[in-house]
Order: sequence, then C-alpha cells, then structure tokens
Amino acid sequence: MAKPGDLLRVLRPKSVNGLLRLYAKNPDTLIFAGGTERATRAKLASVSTESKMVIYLGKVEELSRIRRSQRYLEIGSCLPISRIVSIGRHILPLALSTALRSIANPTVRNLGTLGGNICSAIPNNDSLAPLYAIDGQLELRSVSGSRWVPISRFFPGAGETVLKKGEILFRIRIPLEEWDYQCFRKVSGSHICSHALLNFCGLARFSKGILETVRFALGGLNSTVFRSLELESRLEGKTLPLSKKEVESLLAGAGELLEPLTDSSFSSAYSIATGLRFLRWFIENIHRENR
Amino acid sequence: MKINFLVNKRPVTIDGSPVRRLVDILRIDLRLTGTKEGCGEGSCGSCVVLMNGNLVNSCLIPAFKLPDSEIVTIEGYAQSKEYTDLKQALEDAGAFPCGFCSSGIILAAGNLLAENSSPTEAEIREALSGNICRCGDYDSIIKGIRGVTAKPQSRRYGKTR
Repeated sequence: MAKPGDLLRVLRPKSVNGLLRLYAKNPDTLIFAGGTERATRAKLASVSTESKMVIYLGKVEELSRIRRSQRYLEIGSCLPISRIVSIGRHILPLALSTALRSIANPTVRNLGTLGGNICSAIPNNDSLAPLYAIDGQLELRSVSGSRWVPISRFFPGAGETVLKKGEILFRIRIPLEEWDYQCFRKVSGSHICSHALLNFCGLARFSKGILETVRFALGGLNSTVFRSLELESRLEGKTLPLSKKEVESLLAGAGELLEPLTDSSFSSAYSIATGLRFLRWFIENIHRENR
Repeated sequence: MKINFLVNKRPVTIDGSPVRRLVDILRIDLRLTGTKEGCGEGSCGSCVVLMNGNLVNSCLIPAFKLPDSEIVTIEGYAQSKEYTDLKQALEDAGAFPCGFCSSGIILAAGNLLAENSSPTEAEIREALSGNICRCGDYDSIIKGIRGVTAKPQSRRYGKTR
C-alpha cells in the first residue's frame, strides 16, 4: 500500500517561463515556496495522500531577485523575509521593515517569503497594512503576460485574491518615498508564531507644522485591510497639533467604518477599541515628532 | 523519490516520500537524535539546523527542498572549536537544566556569533527569539553566550557550513 506522499509528483522548474508553462498546464497544482504558513502545510499534507502534484518555486532564480531603481524597490515574491530585511536595511520604509522583523521568529523568517505572506490572503498578516499604506504594487504573471495590481485591489474579499488560474505573484514593488513619521504596531496572541490579531501602519509627511500627507491602514478588522482615503484626506492640510475636536471627529469617522471579523479571537468591542487606540496613538505621535 | 544532499559534510541519499520532514529524516533515518522535535510548527526551535548556512526549522522542511543542500546538525557543529567554547561557557553559566532545547539554542547562538562576534543582550535575545527553553532559564543562557563574547578568542568565530 502506498504511503502518503509516494504518489506525489514534485516539479522543480528553474526558470519563470518554465514555471508559468507548468502552472498553465496544471492550474490546480499546489505551489510551494517557504512553506511556513499553516494553511500551506495543511494543503501539502492533503495533496500528498492523493496522486497529485506540487510545484516548488525555490529553484526559480528570478523569483528571488531584489532590484532598486530611483523610485522603487522591487522584491521577488520568493525572497525569504530575513533576506529582504537584511538587504533592505537602509532602503525599506521603516514601517514595512519593522513589520517584517516582527513576523514569527528569525528561523521562520529564513524560510517564509513576502509572496507567501501576501498570497495567503490573511488580512492581519504583518506585511499587508504597511504595503497598503505605502501603496505597494504587485506584478502578476501568467503565460498570457504580466499585469500590475495595486495591493488595495488584490484582495476582493476575505481569503480571496485576484490571481487567476495559472497566474503567480512575480514581484512586489515598494515605492521609496520620504516620510517624516512612520509607525507599525501590532497585537498578537500568546503563541510566538501566531498571526497578529490586529496590526496598524501609519505614515505622515509634514512641513512647518502642517500635515501634508497622512496614510494609515489597519489589519485584523473588516474583511480585508482597512484604509480610508476619505479619512486620510480629512487630516491633510491640518495644523499640528490637531485639536481635540479634530482628533475625536477622525476617530468617530473611523469607528463608523470599522467592522470586527466574525472569526476573530477578540470580542468585537475590544477589536474596534484597539484599532481606534492604534489610530489615536499614531496621531498623538505625529504631534511628538513635529515638536 | 531519491534525494541527494549533504549532512555534516557527508553525502546522503534517501529514497522515500518527498513530503517527509527533515526532522524525521535526521532522527529516524540518520539517527542524528541531537535534533529534537517540540512543537512541529516552527515555534519552539528545538529542531533547528543550518541549511546552506541559514538557521531553519527542520520540522518545516519537506524532503523535496533538500536536493543539493547542505545541512549541519548539532552533531556536525559539535566537531568545531566554536562549539567547545560555547558549550563550556553555557555550562559555566549553569544553563540548560533539562537540555531539551540546548542543541537548538547552541546552533542559534553559534549562528549569531558567526555573524556578530560581540552581540548586545538585545541582539542575543532577538537571535534566540525562535528558541523556547521550557525550563525558562533564559538569563543563564544569555549569561553563557555573553561569557563567550567576553573572551578575546571570540573574534575567530566564522560562518559554519
């Protein structure tokens, strides 16, 4: 009798074109890179009991490249998180770098990839709130070609991505903008490798005491990462420090838009209160930074 | 599926399921039982090994990732002078009451010292953040690692492959 895995075929393409051709022919195949996400390991266990295939991405060199231009950093989707943090030490936006360094632990970060953190489509995965706030872009590739999608349009709903059959996340484009203030904060469970329950990223640019650009994103509430351009634009042009009325009005506006996740381990009231506390803390720290 | 790779500088060939975990191959097939299994999901660090010079959890590595790779387990690392110094310093500090986490922590500490010969306490704590000591003896472990870095010969630490 065959043991689990005996019937499994593992394909190890060495080029992106080879990978795309294989994936186009076998679009229901499990693709595997770092393998640190619990869901990926569960899928591997389930496909291994049947006569199925796995495509291993670790040998596709183009997926592990990192490239810098004047305006962007482009990160291959299969580059391990620890390598991204190490190569991008002085280049990555601080909020994103802080988020990546907070994922699990150093040994998991040596295996886990940014592409996996994104494609697992868990809205409170730590890279997502910073990628939303910095307006990260994703290049998706298939045999039919390439397309760029802003990360804000990558998740149509909870646990879903816009990846079509046979399409992969090829690279992640990080805009290299200057920010006067950046922050990333998270609340996690007691387990060291547990997903963040809530995380927050805030960015601000100001000049002569006036807020020019403000961005913030919150993961762990709503079905995808929460970001409101309307709320952000309300803060732009305001003089620092914000008045109590301005702060409370912003928090009230955010409170109306936030929805707790039904499967969260937090109570709804606590989730929303914590999300709003992150936002208040961010606004208060912009004040401090501007002194 | 036949897989060829190196373990502690020795060529190894295994034939079996491509989804078997490296920790099982090491412990069951190769009888390298210094690598322990704790949580089985990358949280506790008992199963860490060096794979191509990077510290990884062997419980998260399916066999199909192994071809052409180079693995160093605690048994391989124990052949180095760095190990002797580290073990002595940890013993002097009275670390590891039960010893279950020791192979993982020694590899993690050795890996840190190979990259940074005089880490701060915060850097040591960060480097060991993927290694859980069930006895909770972190202070002695950190004292031991700092004991190694205080010695002048700590400069000779180099990347172990």
